[in-house]
Amino acid sequence: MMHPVTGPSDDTLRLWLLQLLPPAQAALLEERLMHDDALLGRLREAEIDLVDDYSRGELDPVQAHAFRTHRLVDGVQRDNLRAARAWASLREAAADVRVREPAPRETVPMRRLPRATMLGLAAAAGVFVAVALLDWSLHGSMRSDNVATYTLLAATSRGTEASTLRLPPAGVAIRLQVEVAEPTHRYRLFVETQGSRRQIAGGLEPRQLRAYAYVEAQADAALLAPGTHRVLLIDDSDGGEPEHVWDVQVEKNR
Amino acid sequence: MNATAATGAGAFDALLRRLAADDGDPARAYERLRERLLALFRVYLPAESEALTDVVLDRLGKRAGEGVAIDDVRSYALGIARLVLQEARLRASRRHEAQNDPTLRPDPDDEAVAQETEVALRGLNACLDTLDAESRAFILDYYGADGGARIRQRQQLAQARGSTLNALRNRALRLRARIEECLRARLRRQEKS
Repeated sequence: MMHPVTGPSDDTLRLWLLQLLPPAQAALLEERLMHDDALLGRLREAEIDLVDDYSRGELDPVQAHAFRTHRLVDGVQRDNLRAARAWASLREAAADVRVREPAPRETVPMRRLPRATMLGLAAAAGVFVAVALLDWSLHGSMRSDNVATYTLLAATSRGTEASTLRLPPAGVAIRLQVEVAEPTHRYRLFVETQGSRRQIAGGLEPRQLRAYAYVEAQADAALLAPGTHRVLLIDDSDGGEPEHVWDVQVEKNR
Repeated sequence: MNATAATGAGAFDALLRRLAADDGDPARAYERLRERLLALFRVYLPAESEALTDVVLDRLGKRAGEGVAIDDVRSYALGIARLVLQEARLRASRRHEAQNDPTLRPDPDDEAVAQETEVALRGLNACLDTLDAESRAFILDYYGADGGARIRQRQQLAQARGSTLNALRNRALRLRARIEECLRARLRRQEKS
């Protein structure tokens, strides 16, 4: 049940959570959990999926009994079950919910919107945004260097169309602010041009603004000469596979 | 043995110093170790996971303060965690009484569950409305299927976004934790009023 590369299957994790796994196999998972970052996230997800499935009555009788015995044991778990039932109800009406408009918000000029709202709106529109001029308050004096900041959102990574990045004509450096998935990990940022990959920065520690986690790095403008490039975000603890890739078309502003 | 380092703040400092030897950022290493222990105890004794994690970290700090040679901190912590788990299970079996057995507790009746779910659903919708449209669509898609379809759907989502399953999972976990924290707060407020 243990895959050498990807780790235990979802079914194995579920059996572990239900304490239905043989002790020797459970001991292996315990050891793995102490060293494998990915397993930590997968286990958390398996917990949520398990509660979701229980709330929908999708566990077989043995698993349902084990769930009640080992999982449904305190107020927190019962709260989780209540939330899971609400998610299940929501799912039944998902089609309606998906087309629902966001809750009405106060209309304010764009420049006065909080950054998180700006990013949310940008993500919703699926666009690549330059935010340097929109909100200087977030990083205070760090922004006195007049380096233009460009934000790369997860929602606009590969799979959407190439984004156009317009650089200032005389800029020698730009700052990239890049959304990351895991605020406690460290990241590296690369630019790839015609198959040649160069590192922009490494050991980047994310900052967090509510649900938005990001890293920032300053890149020599020469790395992003006019033309097509690919920007890659790599999680240090994720085996070198890019977490996100952005195709960008760089143009010089006149 | 260093008596000061083996207790309280001394033990904590000793643990941070030991973690600093492996990682330049001991605070981050401490948090990661704590997360792992919490996850481990959530598997076996979810109701006591926080308290048991603190016990392990405290004992680990004491060992570090006593100057015990700890080659691999995480493996050493796991060893302590297994002992702590054994002790906790023993305590639980001693105080176990039939009336406390959750399997013997009657399930709430269907009507009560339906009412409770309706209240929670209203809260969930309100909490989802605090997200931007893209995040809301994402989280509903991510948790929008089950069984084999669940895995396929998540793979398709990752592919469509040019992302990895790991990255997608981490984002979904963060969003779901935030939403459920919001939901719990709303439900608590309602229960009080």
